[in-house]
Amino acid sequence: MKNYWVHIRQNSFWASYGNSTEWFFMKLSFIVPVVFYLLRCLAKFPAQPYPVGICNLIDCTLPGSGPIKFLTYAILATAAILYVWEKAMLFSTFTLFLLSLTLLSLEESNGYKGENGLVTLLLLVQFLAYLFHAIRKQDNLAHNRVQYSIQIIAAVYILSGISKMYYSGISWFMEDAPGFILEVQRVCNLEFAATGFAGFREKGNTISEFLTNNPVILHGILFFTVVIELGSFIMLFGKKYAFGYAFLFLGMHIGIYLVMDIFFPTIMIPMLIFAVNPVYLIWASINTVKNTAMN
Amino acid sequence: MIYRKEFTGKILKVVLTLSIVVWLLLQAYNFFNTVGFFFVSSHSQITAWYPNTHWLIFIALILYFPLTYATWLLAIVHFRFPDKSWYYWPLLILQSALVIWLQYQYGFYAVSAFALLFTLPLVTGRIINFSRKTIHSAYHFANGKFIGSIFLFIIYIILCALLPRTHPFAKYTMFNHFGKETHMYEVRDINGHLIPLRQYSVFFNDELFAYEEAAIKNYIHGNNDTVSHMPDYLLGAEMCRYFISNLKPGPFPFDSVKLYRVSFTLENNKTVMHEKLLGTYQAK
Repeated sequence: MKNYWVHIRQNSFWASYGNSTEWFFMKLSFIVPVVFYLLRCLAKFPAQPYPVGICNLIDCTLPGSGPIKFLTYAILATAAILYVWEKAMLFSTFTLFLLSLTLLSLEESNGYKGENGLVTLLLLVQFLAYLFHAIRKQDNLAHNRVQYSIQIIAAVYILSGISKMYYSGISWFMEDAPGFILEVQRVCNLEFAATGFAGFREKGNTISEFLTNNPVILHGILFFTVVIELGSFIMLFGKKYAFGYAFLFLGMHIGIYLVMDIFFPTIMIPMLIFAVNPVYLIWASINTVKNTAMN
Repeated sequence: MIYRKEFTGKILKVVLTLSIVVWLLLQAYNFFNTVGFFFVSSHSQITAWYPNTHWLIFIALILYFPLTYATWLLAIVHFRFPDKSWYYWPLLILQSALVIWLQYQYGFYAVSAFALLFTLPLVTGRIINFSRKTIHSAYHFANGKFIGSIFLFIIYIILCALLPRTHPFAKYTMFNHFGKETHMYEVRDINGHLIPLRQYSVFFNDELFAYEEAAIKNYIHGNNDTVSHMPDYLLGAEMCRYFISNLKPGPFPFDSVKLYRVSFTLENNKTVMHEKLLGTYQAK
């Protein structure tokens, strides 16, 4: 009986992304929320009042209009099942990429800046990995399909860091840092405006006061945020590095959520799935405990 | 990568012959129209009929026919003698640039249609063969151990930096700049009491405020960018309209709503809240 945690502790586990079981859990935990996200876009946006991107060229509401939406549901379901089942991967990844491109562009064409480009890109790079493998059989498909995804995830974070340095420079965490307090007030009051619960407004006041009275903590938080984002290329060094660095990102996202009640699911969830693969770890733990108990 | 058989262009030669026929017909047609007229007439004749013509167009159109013909000749030679006539490509680029310039600047659409008929069949074959080799070389380079680990990373960063925000490319500018003021919006009833958005609308979180940017951009674009900002009462009306059109099913117990802009500034190390009424709008 396989002891998965012994296997995880071995160097061979960290040498490459080759394990097909890990890949299965990555796919499953990625595609399920993606499918729900795309279904939500299909249901929620019957029009594209401010067309952007591909919606300037085609009518992105077409997949969700009239009886065509049932065809779209069928195609989405088929592609998702084939994707998880590891069959016809060129077809499934490309179809999912096209659907994601269309429907998430539709969401942006309704005024939502969801920073959701990562979802579409992950499907595209997985398609590329399978395409390259189809062209050249010697390719390490098992490694590339995950490593390409890690490349895009690292690129998103480093773009965020570069954007901060480009627009604000070091004043982002120095002179302009008090502006962060205003952002905290804004998002806390947004929650108040959305829910009517005065506790959010009080939370905003408490956090603002704390950060105003502790400028070192304020500057430190912002400095480490930028450093972590700009250092995201370290994820490219290997599986171990991606795994470890993901926890830095996780800490950053948790901090953002606690202070600002902001959560970036379209960035954080894919990052966790492809760098940490928590569902696989949970499954491995359960199986290890089960196997140990049976022995 | 497996090489397929080199593209020989037998069908293209047939198409080429047809292109020559079309060219001759167009030449006859154009003789009585703008382009042929320019080609065969002197500058003084041209300016007599087209007073706005200037030297640049005249020279461009004079050059157009021999340039296209030379490109065609070299394309044939390039096909038959691939080792020779490397200058086919710069000539093609020059010809294409000229066609595009003439078309978009002065509307000589017959020029581009003619160029397409003439050169596209030949270009296609060359592009197919050239692309296969290029893709193969690029793939070998990109799939090396080191480059393979970073090339998508670099390409995506470059594309996001260069392209405007277009899904899936974005610059991920979340909180990249802290201003001296931030703001958000509150919807209140006629007595000034807050109407909790999530209780009545189908939004997630602050979607109403994400809609603000789209509404402003649409307004500015709708005014051909002659205005720099949207008047508050119009913005309020637009956002209220969006709010009302996204209500949850069921009764909405307010006849009219007020939209407030709530802004925050730092004064003497303390956060100060300011409110501004944008307008009162009918809910039903």
